[in-house]
Amino acid sequence: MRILLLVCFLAGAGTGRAWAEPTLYEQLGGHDGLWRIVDRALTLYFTDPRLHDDFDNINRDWLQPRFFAYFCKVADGPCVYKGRSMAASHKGLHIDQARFNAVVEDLQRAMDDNFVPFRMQNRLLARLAPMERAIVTR
Amino acid sequence: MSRDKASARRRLAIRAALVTAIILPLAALDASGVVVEQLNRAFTKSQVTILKGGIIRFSNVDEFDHEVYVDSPNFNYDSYEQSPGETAVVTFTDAGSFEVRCHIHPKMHMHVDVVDH
Repeated sequence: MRILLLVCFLAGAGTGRAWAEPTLYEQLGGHDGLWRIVDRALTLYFTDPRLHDDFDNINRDWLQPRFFAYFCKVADGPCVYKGRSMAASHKGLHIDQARFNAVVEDLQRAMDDNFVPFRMQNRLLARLAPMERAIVTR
Repeated sequence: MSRDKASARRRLAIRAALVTAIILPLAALDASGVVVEQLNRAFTKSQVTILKGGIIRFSNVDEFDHEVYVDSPNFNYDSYEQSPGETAVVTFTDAGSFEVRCHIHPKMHMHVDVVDH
């Protein structure tokens, strides 16, 4: 009986480990995969005429690690985001719905360009969706 | 004699006026520092000359963050993220020429000449 319980326990533990759902961060390709998505998204943001006023005179080298850390945290990755809240960091930028939509569209395109499956794209977008209330102020 | 007195009084008055108009404001400026605003992703002054040990107050009047920094061999400073309404106070302890920039907005720059007393 004891042996049977031990076998069941070990089998259960092994099964649980094998079936653990990978985090969204892992599903997006971990550090390298997410970095590629962020890199492509920022390239699109910095060249999108709809976002010219927002990204003109912004230091991409300063922005990209912060952007990555935020996305990493949102996707349950092992990152610490030390920046301010979305509301605080976007306050005064007067971002309207059209510009927010442009940011989302470019992000979707960045994920397409990195062959992120549609289901994963939606999972990330769903986690980022609550940001809209903090960012859109006009 | 009385004409000499009147002339001396006039010279004294002129000196007093000069002290009030020129020297006292400079002294006050030196004590409180030069104020430079950060407005519309730019510094409101492109060049400032101050005495060694002088202060520049960078006042963020924009509605978003700035981050003032100086990166030179003999003087370094970083305000880190500076929220709207915050003032970064920078004391220039060495004489020389320095470029002040913003980490977030790369087109922002200002030249500071620090001269010895």
